Amino acid sequence: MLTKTESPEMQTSNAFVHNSAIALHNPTLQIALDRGTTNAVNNRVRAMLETTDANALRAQGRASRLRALHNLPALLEQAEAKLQARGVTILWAVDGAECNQHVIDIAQRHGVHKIAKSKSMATEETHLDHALEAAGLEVVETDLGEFVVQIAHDTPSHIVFPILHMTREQVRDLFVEKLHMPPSDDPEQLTAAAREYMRAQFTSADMGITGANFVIAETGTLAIVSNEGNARMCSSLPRVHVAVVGIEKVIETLDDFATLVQLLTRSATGQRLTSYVQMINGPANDNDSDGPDQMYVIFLDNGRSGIYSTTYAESLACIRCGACLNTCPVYQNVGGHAYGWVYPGPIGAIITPLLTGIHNAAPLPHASSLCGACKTACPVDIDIPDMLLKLRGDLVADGDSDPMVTAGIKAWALASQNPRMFELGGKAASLATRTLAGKDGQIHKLPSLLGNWTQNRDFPPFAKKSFHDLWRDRQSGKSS
Amino acid sequence: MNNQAHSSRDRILGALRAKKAPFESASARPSAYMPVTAVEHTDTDALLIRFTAELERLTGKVHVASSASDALETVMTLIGDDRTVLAWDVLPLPGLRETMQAHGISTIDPHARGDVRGEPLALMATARIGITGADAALAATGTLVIASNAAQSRTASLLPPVHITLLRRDRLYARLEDWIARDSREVMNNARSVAFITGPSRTSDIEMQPIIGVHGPKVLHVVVF
Repeated sequence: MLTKTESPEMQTSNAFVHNSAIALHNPTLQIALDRGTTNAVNNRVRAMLETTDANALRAQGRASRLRALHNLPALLEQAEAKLQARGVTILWAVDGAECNQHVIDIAQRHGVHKIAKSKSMATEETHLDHALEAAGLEVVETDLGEFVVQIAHDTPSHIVFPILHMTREQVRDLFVEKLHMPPSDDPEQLTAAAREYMRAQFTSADMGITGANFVIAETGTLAIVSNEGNARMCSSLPRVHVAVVGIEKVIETLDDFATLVQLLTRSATGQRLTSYVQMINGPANDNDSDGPDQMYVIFLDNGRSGIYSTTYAESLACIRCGACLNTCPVYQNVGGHAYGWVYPGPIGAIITPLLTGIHNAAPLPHASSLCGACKTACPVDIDIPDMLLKLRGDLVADGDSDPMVTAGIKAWALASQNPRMFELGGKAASLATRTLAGKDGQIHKLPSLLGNWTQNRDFPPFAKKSFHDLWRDRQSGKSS
Repeated sequence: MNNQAHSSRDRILGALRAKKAPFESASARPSAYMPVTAVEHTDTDALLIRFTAELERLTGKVHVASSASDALETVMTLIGDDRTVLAWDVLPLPGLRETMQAHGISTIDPHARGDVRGEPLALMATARIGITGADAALAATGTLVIASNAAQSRTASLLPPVHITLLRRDRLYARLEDWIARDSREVMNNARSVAFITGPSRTSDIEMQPIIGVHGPKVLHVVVF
């Protein structure tokens, strides 16, 4: 059976609680998440521990990103001028629709029929594949995980590992059905089947589409990180290469790149470097024996400039390693699809409301225990918990809060001002909760409106004696 | 399209400049960056040992030749019975082209430019072996630095399932940081594409289980001379 999810056109971030409940009761997903995130966390920790000084490097990487963001418009212009001087056409896209139209126009101008595409989260934002197909173009996702997503009519659930939500058995069933491969759930056999299928696609594509992990302003260079080699294929074999790049991806120098690319690969997959890091400075030189004849770079805004001068600007420093997803106890349990848009996990809980509108993703800032694991894992030390809290504040200020919670907090405020009332309330809560507790001492279902709390978790009963009681007993010499 | 593109450019840059830029207190560019890994011994022999250990950890195979003729013999052994290979026009190992020719080994024309590419690329994809040089190698990560230019095709290190790289000993650097500081600007100025290659092609997309050889080469040989 295939993993079927929502239509990619539909954002379901507001259904986070509902989506999570389904995810928590999906045993296959739970196995896949457990296998995937455990490996990812172990790999990252091992790779970061063997560096010269992990925290100093994170600070160095953070400084590189913040400095670049401070100078963002000038660096974009610098990169643009460098690339243009080597014959690259630079296009700008305010939103996804404009980005997609640019790509369609380029394809039509160059008589393109088939497009080989490598993994790019920016184009997930714009639903580029659907736009290209609607324009009559054939597009093949060439990253193994993205290819599985494409033929399953699914969406990626992780920014580095698109099919983290799938087990090998699910991929087997899909390949048997779509690629007619003999049944095998050996990942090696599955990969071999994909390699064979993809060969013909690479050599016959007229155009390649990639993203970019960094744009280096100093040299006018796109840096693309990959392991499979498909990004190199897409940017080397077809006659036209188009790179879609978020405007926040620009960094200053090659020295910044050296730190950031290694922080990225170590944090994403635990590798010292990925198999391929390709530096692209422009289309092929006239006398090069291969390489693209035409090259385009599309700088995509799609809401980023709206974040730029706000208190959330730090979220633009993200280098998309996925470490905060893997380490997050919420992501580990509900997976990526529950978040309902392109970017899941802690960083997704920030940028989804910021890029798509806070009322389209109101539950996401609450989808965190604020445990801080994300900030600790982040290679550029983004203060994710702080921004989640600020977003919660924005939601309340905007009138988006649960009346029950507001009433509860008001009652608490009133009661806590009066010691007698506080103590009385505590006694009542203690008695009530202990009556409700099951044999294991936990409350599995709170009554009436409070029941929402226990829908997906238990509630511990209050202690039999309050701190005040214990203190009084201690002072009067009684033991409990 | 151009008018529209220009107005979008102005809109985006205008929006970024409309208010105060964030992170005014971001620290100034350091005069020296801390390298990501420590490399204690930087003499060529030590770098070669480190490079070999790193690459072999990733299933790459390093063959250290005692001389150019030894390297030549190693390459011929690696080619084995194949009579067609994909290779750079100019290979750094003297005599290799002539020796291959003498053994009846032909090279596929690496030319794939212009509008008709399907056939030449499909032909190149039939080669089992690709042979290239390397502009540099980075010991701490086991990385090859390979630039593309008129004589150095992109496909030779990309399409064949077996990639043989000829690496001169004096091209070894300790780290990415060292190559960037000493050589990168010149290489980057002259090449439109520079690839850092660290081991064979791989994926961990299915349950994060590492699998070698997805779209690029499955086997990577480095012959050091």
